Amino acid sequence: MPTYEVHYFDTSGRADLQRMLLEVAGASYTNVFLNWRTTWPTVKETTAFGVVPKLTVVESDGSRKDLYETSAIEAYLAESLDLMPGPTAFERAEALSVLSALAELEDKVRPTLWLRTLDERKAGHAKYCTETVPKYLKYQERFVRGDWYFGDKLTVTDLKLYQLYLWYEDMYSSYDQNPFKVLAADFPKLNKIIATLDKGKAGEYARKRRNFGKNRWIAKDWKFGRK
Amino acid sequence: MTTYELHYFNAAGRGDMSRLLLDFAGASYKNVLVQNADWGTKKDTTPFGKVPVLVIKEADGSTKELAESAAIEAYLAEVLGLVPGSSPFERAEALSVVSAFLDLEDKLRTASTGTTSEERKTAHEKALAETIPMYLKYQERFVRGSYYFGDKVTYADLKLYQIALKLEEMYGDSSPLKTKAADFPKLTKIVETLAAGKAGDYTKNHRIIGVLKWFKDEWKWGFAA
Repeated sequence: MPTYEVHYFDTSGRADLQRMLLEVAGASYTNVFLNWRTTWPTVKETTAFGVVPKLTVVESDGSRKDLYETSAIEAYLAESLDLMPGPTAFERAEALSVLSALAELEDKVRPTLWLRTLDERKAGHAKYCTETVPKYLKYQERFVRGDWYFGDKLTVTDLKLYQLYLWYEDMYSSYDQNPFKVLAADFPKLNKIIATLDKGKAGEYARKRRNFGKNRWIAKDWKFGRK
Repeated sequence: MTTYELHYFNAAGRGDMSRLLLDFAGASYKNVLVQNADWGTKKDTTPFGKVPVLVIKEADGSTKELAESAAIEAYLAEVLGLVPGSSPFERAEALSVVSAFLDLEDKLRTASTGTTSEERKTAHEKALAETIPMYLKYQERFVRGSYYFGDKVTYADLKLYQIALKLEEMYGDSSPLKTKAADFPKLTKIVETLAAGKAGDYTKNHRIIGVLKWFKDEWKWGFAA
């Protein structure tokens, strides 16, 4: 059985879903935290593409291999940890298509995070929550094929949905503006998935091993900041 | 024999890479071009309200469809024998190369979001001088043989080729793959080898540029009349 190292900063960010997959699957993993100022600059040049997260797979014979890029790491872990809908190329690609659409929705809010004034950020987030999110989630709701995205089996797609919900909680819970909650009546299947995951191992990860205490949302400023 | 339909607009855009894979591998495929006027009705018939969509028609007559360019490309790479190997790790490594290039493409899209052509020009000049060479430096270092993964062409090489086409279309002779070719000998060799073969045939004979063109004085993509 391999063990894993997740190399990233001490924040949920782009490592959140990987950590969640490892937790839900009960895999043995450690976080290797990088420090933006001290260790990151040297580590950066050792990475394949100059970015993290990096996943190190440590096999039982001690051999190590590294994998980069969140979408590749998530696809690899989903397959290795039996969190794909099935073994065929098509089934795995269908799961990747859901991840891709959810990642696109997630990316749509990023420019707003960096807008210069408070008023611009507030307006940007309001527009995102009321206009962009429902446009994307309507297709996600329609896609769900059972209790989970792919019927009876929990897969990486359900966990991606929950990871997105958690990020919205980070940003919007102080204003009761998490779009999954505000629009609950429009997205019953998606919310049922979230509620189920919240009660189990994914929720436990979220409450105990997801936040490392440094990076958090500053409600009055509508932005993330470090303690 | 499996046949494919690639549904996308009359443009290269996010359909180009899938068409290149199908064409390069000699798959039986056809392009179903979506006209802007028809998009309104077609949109909600797609899994996520977007194209490209790949329709797969098996020999037994069954069909299935796949959305999202990243998923379509990963799928086609696997079924068309354009991955480094069959294990999850090997397939994920190829995906990581492609993902890094997708990141670069996103940066170039952002450079065109400025509201004036001056802003966009500044952003693209910075991309040419700094961002693109930085991405290419890591890519050059990654290459493990004649191709990205040794002796066999994979979709990582074809992604590089598609990026080279895009950079040429956008920047012509100012493409960093040309101005800094000496810094990227392995990447340059892959692009030249592919251009001389089936990928070059695709570009000359089957590639669809359609209505979406780069307006170089505006520093953005737009629809040609």
